[in-house]
Amino acid sequence: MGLIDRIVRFLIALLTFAAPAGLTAAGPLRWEATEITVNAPPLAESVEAVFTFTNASDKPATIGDVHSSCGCTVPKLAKKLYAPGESGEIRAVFTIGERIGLQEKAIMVTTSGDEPSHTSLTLRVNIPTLFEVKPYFVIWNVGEATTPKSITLRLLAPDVLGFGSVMSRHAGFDAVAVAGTEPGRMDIAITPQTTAQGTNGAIVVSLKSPEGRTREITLYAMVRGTPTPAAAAPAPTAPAAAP
Amino acid sequence: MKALREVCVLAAVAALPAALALALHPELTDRARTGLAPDAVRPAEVAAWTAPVLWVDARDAAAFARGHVPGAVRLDEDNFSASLGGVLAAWSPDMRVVVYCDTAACSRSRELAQRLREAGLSEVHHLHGGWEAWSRAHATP
Repeated sequence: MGLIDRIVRFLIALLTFAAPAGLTAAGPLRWEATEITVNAPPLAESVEAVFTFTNASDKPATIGDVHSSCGCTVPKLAKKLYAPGESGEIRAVFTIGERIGLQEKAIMVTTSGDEPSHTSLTLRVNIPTLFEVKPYFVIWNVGEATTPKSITLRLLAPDVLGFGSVMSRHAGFDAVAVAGTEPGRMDIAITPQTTAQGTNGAIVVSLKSPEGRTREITLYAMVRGTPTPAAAAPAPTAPAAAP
Repeated sequence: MKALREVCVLAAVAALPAALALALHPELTDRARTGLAPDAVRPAEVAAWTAPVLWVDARDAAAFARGHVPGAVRLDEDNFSASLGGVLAAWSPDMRVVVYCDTAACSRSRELAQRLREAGLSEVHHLHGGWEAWSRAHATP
């Protein structure tokens, strides 16, 4: 093995082992875990993770700053100053909103004093996907026939979330729920009253859990394009026939 | 000698599809070299597009208020379906959509680009390097 080869191997080993240690163990705080994964229960509005630490140094440690990479994650710290050997915790509350799938957020902790340190904590949240919507919108061109177009909603956990209601929030569009051909599927047929000019409308689908909790999904219907003179202007009326 | 001949044959066989890929899709080989995701674009690429572009800002409201790409629409991941209306109001089918977040380290733009595709939009990309890269590319000297 040549000298250069040895140096490269040494540097790789150094980066592999020393760098993560530097991120997690430097400074006065020793963490029970720097990565936590939480499985969010269906329909949960938020989840919480607790990162526990101990001041392992022989001096008081001050946590100067705690902030998260996302406004959805709020880290809370009971106090800033920790005596030698004292333990504390950072409670991170993650607001789920309409997020789905695996979410990974970083929480940065900075200590000040003689041994300033930066620690990056990782919160992973698995959020179950309870429904699928395809597509979220339907479009007609100006002047197109006012034939219904549909949006398909599939419930992936029907025991957790079932169909509630469908309501058009725009008088220019009618929305009707049609039971799908398979369990857990609903087709929402949307019809514009006219396509003579461009307009946008929203349709709200309400889903309900057996406990009475609701989840609303907003869908969209749009008539797009520039009205042609023939489409925009009212059709000429025939002159009244003479009696 | 036999082994060398076999290596040469294998190299020649591998070189043929590689040359074809380079000739037909030079951008793909560039992406493979740089590790760029297929739906990722750089600010310079977007600037070269002739198609109209809809910029979608995946950052939080405070970051958007501090500064954003001119004409960008904010898409709130917390209220995805409700805030999708703002995106659709600015969108037309001839547009290319570019979603961005803070830096190359954030994954929100990639995730939201995927959700927009699933919602029914086409030609949706995410900006490699995010707002940081866009700001750098448009910084006045």
